[in-house]
Amino acid sequence: MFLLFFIAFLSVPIIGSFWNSQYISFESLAYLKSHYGKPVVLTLVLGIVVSLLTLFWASCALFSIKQLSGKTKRTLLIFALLPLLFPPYIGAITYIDIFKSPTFLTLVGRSSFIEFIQASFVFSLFLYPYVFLLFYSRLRMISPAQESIIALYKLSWWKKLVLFYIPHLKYAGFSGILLVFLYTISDFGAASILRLHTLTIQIYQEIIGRFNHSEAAFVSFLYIIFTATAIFMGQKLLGEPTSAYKTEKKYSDIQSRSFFTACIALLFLSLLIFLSVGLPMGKIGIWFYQYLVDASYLKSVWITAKQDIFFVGLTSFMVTLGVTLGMLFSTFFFSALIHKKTESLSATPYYLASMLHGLPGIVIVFGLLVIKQTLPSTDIMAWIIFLSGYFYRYIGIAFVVIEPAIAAIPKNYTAIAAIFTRGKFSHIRYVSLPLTKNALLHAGNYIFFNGLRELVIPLLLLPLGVEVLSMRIWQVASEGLYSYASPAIFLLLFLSLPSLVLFVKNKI
Amino acid sequence: MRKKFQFLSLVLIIIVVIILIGAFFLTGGRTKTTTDTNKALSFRELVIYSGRKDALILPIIDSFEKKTGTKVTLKSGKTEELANLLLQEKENTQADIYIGTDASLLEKLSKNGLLTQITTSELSNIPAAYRAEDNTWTGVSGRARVLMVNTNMLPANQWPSSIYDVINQKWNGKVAMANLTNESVVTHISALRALHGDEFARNFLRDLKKNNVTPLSGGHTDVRQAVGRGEFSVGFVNHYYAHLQMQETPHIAIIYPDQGAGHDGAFVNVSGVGVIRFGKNQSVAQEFVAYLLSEEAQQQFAELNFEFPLRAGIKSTNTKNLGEFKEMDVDLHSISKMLDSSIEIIKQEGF
Repeated sequence: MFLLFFIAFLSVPIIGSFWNSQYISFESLAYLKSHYGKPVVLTLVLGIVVSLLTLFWASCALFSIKQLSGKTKRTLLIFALLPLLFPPYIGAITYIDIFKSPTFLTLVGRSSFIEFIQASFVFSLFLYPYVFLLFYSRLRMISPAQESIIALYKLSWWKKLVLFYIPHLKYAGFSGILLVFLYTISDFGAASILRLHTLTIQIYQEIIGRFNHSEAAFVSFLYIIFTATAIFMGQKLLGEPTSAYKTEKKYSDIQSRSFFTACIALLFLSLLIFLSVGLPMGKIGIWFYQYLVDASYLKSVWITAKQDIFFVGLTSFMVTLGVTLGMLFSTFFFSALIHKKTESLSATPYYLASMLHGLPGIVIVFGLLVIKQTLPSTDIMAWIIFLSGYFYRYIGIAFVVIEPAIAAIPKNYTAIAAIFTRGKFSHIRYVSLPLTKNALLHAGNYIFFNGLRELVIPLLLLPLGVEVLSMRIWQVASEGLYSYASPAIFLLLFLSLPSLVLFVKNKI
Repeated sequence: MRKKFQFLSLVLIIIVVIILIGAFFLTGGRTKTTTDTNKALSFRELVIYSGRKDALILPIIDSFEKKTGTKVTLKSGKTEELANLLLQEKENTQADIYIGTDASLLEKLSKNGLLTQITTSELSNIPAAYRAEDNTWTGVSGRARVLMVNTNMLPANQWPSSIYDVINQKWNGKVAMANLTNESVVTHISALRALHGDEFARNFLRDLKKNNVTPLSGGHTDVRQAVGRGEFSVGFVNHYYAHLQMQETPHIAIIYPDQGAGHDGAFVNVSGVGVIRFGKNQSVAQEFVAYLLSEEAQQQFAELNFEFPLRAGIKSTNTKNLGEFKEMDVDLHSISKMLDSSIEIIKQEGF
């Protein structure tokens, strides 16, 4: 029953994608090649290159962190994770301004290949912390006793890496690069700014620029198949899917005491942090200064005629908070209901939930857009469709975090609660909520953190008269008015900071 | 029992407060009333779908709001995206006004029965060539397709003088244009088809590809900035983009192409406005159109936006005006009807 419901739920974007399609016209070989051949190859190659680059950055960062100790290590660890604060499209905005400066162009020149390298570099800089976090969490689960034993054998660093560290870290690595791969191929904002004609851009251009959306539907369907395949194969490599939230014992690290390697590590980390945090923050700071001193009429237009930035920030905060609470509430009760009826779930719902989260936002939005056109165009309907976009986007992650936590509650706890308390839902208050509060917090934090930065859903589904921070940043940056985007960028980073602290604290 | 009741009450109060705060702020003051005695009893509202850049339309909307006490809700986006939206929404739309940057899209909306006749007397001040035959849309300002050149990269004796120069081998990889889903580009292709036939247009598209003319998905803003930065020597844009870039980087020159005897002339399109048939605020919408065609707004288009005012007697002082350069001799009405077929041809040629 649950499976049927889940499949029906998942099918809406797919069915929506093909609803009201007119015909699919593949005009010519030249058209097929440029419309599908190039974007498919580019998307896949980008995903693979970015995944490998993030693996490189994360591995080097991990090795470097191991060479350090004390306050230096903790400080650099925090800074190494700060790139998570920047959504890739904000990172892309800061770097495109550098890459396209006359000086840089004179030095490096311009070609599609150079633009691809630049884009891969930018993606990897702002996505490597996902791999690094997984590596670091896993590393801390290795017993120091084991590392001491390995040290006794006096193996070369290469043998230690191959015989000891890779076997322990490989699954973390696979998980990390699968995550990065899916994020990269489903990205819209950064790809658009960096002028990459990926499949997401193709779908977007078809939606807005063509009057026959059947091709957008076809490409969306390809994405669904591809994402499902990638997640299925990833899960097969990694084993059965398990809870995304686990508490396991963490040990202190054993560090190397070589002064030379510590210096190299320090230099490397400093460079990485400068590129991924220092430079973007510096750029945004310069833009903000330009914004403050700008006396042109445009500034007054953006303040008075458009909604004030604090109002936009408040809207973003309220929408995201509402979505987060709603999703936590619905997932919690839905999962509790499932476990009242069944002992345990098979792996299939986890695959489906992971797949839903792995789908590009543009595919979900396209399905909802097609449904939206059949409904009356009122404010309420617009809000329902808009919030549904967030629901589809993040329900998967809520499920894979919350459901296992509920499944882990022993049945006899609920029975005991029923004996000693009164009320139909007393077991929820006295048993379920306390035992799942960490999972709820973790899921809610993740949804809030990513929902605040979400771009595609507001871009195409935002109700009339409403503006959120990501839309303001996108709209203004698209016109090249980077300084006018800086207040919104600062506000977005500020609102994301507490979530990031909580997210990182859980992992390290 | 009492503690349980208090706990539930607290949770309920918090939820209600959050919802109320959210609802208050998110309605954005739609229930506010004006103190003007003539308008005190009626709340005037207008919903505009605008394909124009915010910075170019907001000052005019701001003036209209102040003058009439109307609360304007603006939905911005790409012209073709909003036209698509209107075609999908049909009678369910919330829009009262559509402002588009291309006559073809306005004509398409009109042919699909989404626009109603404009009734303002100000319409007679706009030449018939720049408005619909049935008055369901009207041009508001004109724009010419021009070449913009980075003068640091190209001395004057090397500047192109025709749009057909960009397919010359010496410009291989040095020319940028907006993506070929951009409405201005599509209508320009329609104009070439009207003037020289379909085969000519197809060959031109093939030559653009062969010569690595780069379509930029960021649109004309991306093109003008790319030329300004020196990424490309030449850009194919609407004329006011070149003027906007000159404000930021002075080493830009604007070339009105094909001006010689026997040459085609520069293609002139219009950005225009239509009143949505199914809009809920018809009278306010007609007032807004009248305002856009008034001397005050036309002067703003000329001075702020570097566009060609269409109203007779209004001249721009910081750009050329219509009549001061050779225009392509095409009928905007007939090429507006070629939108769908031009999109098909562009697709067939692999764009």
